[in-house]
Amino acid sequence: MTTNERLERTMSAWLRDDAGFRVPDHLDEVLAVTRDTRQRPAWSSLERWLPVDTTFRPRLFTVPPAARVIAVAALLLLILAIAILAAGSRGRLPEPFGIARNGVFLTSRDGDLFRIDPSTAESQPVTVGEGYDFSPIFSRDGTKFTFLRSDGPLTEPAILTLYVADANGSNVRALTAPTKSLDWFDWAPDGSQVTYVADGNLWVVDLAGGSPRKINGVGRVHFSTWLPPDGKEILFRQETRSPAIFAVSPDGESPRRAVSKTPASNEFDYQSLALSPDGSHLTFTRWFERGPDGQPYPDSLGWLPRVFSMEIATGTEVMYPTPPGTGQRGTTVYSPDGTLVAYARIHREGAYEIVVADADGSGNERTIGGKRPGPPDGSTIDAAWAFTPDGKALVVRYGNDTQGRNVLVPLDGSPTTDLGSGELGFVDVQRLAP
Amino acid sequence: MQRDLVERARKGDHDAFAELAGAAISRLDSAAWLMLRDVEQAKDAVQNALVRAWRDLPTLRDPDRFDAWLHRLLVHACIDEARRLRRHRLDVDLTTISAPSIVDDVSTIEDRDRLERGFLRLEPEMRAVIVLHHYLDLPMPVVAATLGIPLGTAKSRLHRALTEMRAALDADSRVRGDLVEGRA
Repeated sequence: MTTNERLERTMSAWLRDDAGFRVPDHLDEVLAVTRDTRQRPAWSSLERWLPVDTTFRPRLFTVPPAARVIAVAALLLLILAIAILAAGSRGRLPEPFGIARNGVFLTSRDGDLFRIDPSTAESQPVTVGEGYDFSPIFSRDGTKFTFLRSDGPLTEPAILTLYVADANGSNVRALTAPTKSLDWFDWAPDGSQVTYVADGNLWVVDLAGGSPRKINGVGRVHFSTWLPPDGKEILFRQETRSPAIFAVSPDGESPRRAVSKTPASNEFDYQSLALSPDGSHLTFTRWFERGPDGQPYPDSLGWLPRVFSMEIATGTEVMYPTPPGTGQRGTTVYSPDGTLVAYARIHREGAYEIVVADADGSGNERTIGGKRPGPPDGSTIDAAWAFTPDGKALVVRYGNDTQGRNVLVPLDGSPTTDLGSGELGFVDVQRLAP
Repeated sequence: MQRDLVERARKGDHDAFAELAGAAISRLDSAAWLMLRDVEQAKDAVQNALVRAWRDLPTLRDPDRFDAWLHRLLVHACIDEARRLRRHRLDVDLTTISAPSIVDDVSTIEDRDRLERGFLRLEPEMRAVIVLHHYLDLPMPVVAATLGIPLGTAKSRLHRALTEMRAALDADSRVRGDLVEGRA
């Protein structure tokens, strides 16, 4: 037991003993006061949860009734205009962000890339025979895609090369040399560069040509992601005993701590970063020993993660709803318009389900696809998911790297579409300008 | 049952509010005493919190959050009282806070005195976190929601409070050790 734990235990006992001597004898006095106190009308507080200190203000002069009507009408018009402006501005994310049309579906299957027709689930080969290809990811504007290639059988650690091709599968070329532990790559918003992590180091490669360049002075890195919408910086998690989120320009200049208000509570915090399309918020996981009911989780690690949303400018955090006995896991993804997020909810027995929730953390949510079995300790989630560009469905891969099935799951509950199965197969959907 | 009482009280039923207040006042009194260490100030804080609860009850959106809301009002009232008390203490001498009136062994009383001295050195906001978590047994996410602060802030506030308590207790021990050995 640590010194702090001993102190906490002693303090709890002391507080309980000390509090035991209180015998309230002033209830009647209190009730006499409340009986003579008028209640505030319900409408007098816009945010009913927060007590408001200043409800009544002195009236400086008397306004004639007709002027009052005009003033109220003008106020209503002003509110309406502000609401219309706000709604309009929310929908106007700069290209290539926001809702768009769905284009081609790409997937990998047993070492080759295929194009899928989402209505018939029929597939046509894109790359066949040259090495072991997998993990196609479209650029944000949908004109190109990257993929990984192993020249021989996959090994551990894998030696992989990052390739790029035009959306129709032509003009295939390598962006990197064969590289150990290539991981976590992301397209710049304008499609001119790709960032990736190799063996814990941050790299950037220009599509126009030239060798990849290593970004020095940022330590060991994971979850590198371009900061939308302009992509002037790359956000990443610095892997230390007290991890933090940093940002650096793609030329390696001016690294800075991007989120400084809230320190990590342990070495596992700030994983699975995702950024909202407007770049104002990020989601990440924190790990806790106990559930919201105060009881320790019974899994092998003794804890489970929860997904948080943080406003980057202020550091204000919101935890997404976590019913008792559950945790959240898996990389959170934003819908194209940034209003929804999707993540996995783990249940105590290890089962999981995919949750689609309002991104603002207000608590509105639905589960889709039903509960799926998982290991009893909740240690892995054998699934991956992403929103389609039109924001109407999730593409989900249920299964692990070697065995899995891809499914298109509409958010409105209409029937799902099977998109095939295979080793290391995940579907990415091309974004076409709206 | 409580939800029904809250609903009735929201609509102006004072008898329903009296039942709610009667059920809560012991817990509120204890928590206020623990935070303020002054019987009269604690009573004032509880009264202020309950009067405000009655006044603002119609504006409470979710009746199921009545308890958390009441705790929040109490914490705010206690912090206000503590600040008022601190200003008052600049002008007048305080009477010694009475020790527990039960018979106990000397070391336990000494421990309690030391804890109390350490606790009194904390800012009211830190005392509030400790009382909510260690006396009312609220999980930290609920403590954070009750205080209206991010969870990370609540956790760091609790950690800082415990660290300051420990430092105060260590300093107290050293002074007492010096006194026993005649060095002071």
